[in-house]
Amino acid sequence: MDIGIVFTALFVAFNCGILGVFLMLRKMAMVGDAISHSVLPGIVIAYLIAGTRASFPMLIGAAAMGLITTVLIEFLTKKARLQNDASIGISFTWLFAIGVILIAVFTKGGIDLDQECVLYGDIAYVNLDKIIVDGNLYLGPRAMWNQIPVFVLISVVILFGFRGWQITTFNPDYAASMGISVSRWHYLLMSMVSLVTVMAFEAVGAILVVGFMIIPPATAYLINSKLKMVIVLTLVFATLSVLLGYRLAIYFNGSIAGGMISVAGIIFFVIWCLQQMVKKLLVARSDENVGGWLVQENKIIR
Amino acid sequence: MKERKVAVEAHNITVAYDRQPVLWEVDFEMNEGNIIGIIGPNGSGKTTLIKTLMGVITPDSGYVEVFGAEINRVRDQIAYVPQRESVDWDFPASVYDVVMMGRFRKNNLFHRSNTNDRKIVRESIEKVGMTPYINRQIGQLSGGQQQRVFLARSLAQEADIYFMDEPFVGVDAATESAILELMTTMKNLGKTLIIVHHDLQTVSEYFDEVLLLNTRVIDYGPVNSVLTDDNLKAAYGGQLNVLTKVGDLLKKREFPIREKEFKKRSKS
Repeated sequence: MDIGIVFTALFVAFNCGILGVFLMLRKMAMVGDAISHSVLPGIVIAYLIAGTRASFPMLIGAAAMGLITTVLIEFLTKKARLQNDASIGISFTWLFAIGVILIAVFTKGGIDLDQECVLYGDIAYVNLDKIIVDGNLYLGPRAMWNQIPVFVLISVVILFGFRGWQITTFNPDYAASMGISVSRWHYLLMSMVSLVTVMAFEAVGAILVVGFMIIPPATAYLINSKLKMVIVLTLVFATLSVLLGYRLAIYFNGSIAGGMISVAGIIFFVIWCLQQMVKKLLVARSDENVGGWLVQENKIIR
Repeated sequence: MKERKVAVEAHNITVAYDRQPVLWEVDFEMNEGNIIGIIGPNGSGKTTLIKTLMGVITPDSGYVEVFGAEINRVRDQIAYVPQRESVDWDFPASVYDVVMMGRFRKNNLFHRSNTNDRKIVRESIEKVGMTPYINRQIGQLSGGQQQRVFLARSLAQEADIYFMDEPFVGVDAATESAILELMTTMKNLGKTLIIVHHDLQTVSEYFDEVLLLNTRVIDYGPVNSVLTDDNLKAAYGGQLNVLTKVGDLLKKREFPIREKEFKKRSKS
């Protein structure tokens, strides 16, 4: 087992999963996908300004464009009164298209800026960029060391602001009636999503980012008990997907990212089937309980 | 007798969406210690009005004062019961979690709950009779029970003014009487209740004062002086099915037996 690859994937999965829980509960699950596409013009502009293909200016450009994307989505939803999913669709396709045009315009002079290689890394290659100190002390892939501070940041922000995330996600109007700035919390979340997405897909590819942002939270949400438990379960399912997915990929000699997301999907369906079976058992055992009571009350209302 | 303070005042409030006015020059002063109904047809701006009073929506012109102060200085004195349909009840939270939100404040979001908070939360849940369901996920409750959870959450805020948006919609008879009982208790404690309501039949039973709204304020005052033929026609004019209801209501008044009943109810 390649420790470097597995740990990089684990931290990407944790970062994406934790934020994904809140994105899903806010009905914005596809925002991560949107950001991973719409950052293209940001990367091109950063390249034009900095004049190099060094990854740091590109990261800045991409992260800034990620934030602009979320502002644009918010603007289209609030001011243009579009459905949230339509706003997401417009924002990222439009920005991606602008990025493609920008590349076409500026590669005429023979500049090598291909979106496949700029935008989407592959987790199998994270070991090509290692951090080595003193010439021989190998500390692991750079992508992993990029993800760890982000993980710490997210954990701290989510833990300390837990009540804020809870109330602004469940009932924004109610939070606003207490004087809590709902939009400030929204943009804090979006900045973190933007940061994680940009840093992760540069190293490991978009499918891993988008997949981990949605599937483990959705699986945890099926079991649906308490918000804290949903986050913990997300981490558990993410870990399982990474470990089993890596094994699967090695066994079939296939794509590592593909293996991990496939396993995540399989876990989702297994949990769903189990849940349906448990539900049937429970209903069969106690008919007069919750289900029966609800039906009774509906009759009273009508 | 103690002099009554003004609880909420609105002056020349105008709110517009896409240049379409939802509220137009709304101006009133509400005294504390009353149960006040805000009634009007669908789309007459009732929800927008209470959201504006609570500072959730910023008016395009005019201003609101609560207890004579700017809203941000008296946030802790107001509590809010939103419309039940306005949230996703599949959210992973238990009854206890939701009621605990009533103890959140702008400046304690980064703290944990203390013993006092937990005590108040349990008491609030007990007051609405939801203690047996305290750990149940909120999506597994009936409509009436969900409404009670929202009520308990507002009780946990320990406020002086309660804004409630359609608390009687889609609830069972037991919840309805529980809400009414709570309203009486809170009134006796000197609290002010401002309640958005749409059912004309029950207005005189529930409220001391009524604000009749249809983008503008049609009239505001004690129930009997507001619910006149002219006012109701001005508010509901053109809405046939509602007009028949208004007709029924007026008819009921003309019957002396009913009249007695009304008087009895409003006295008690």
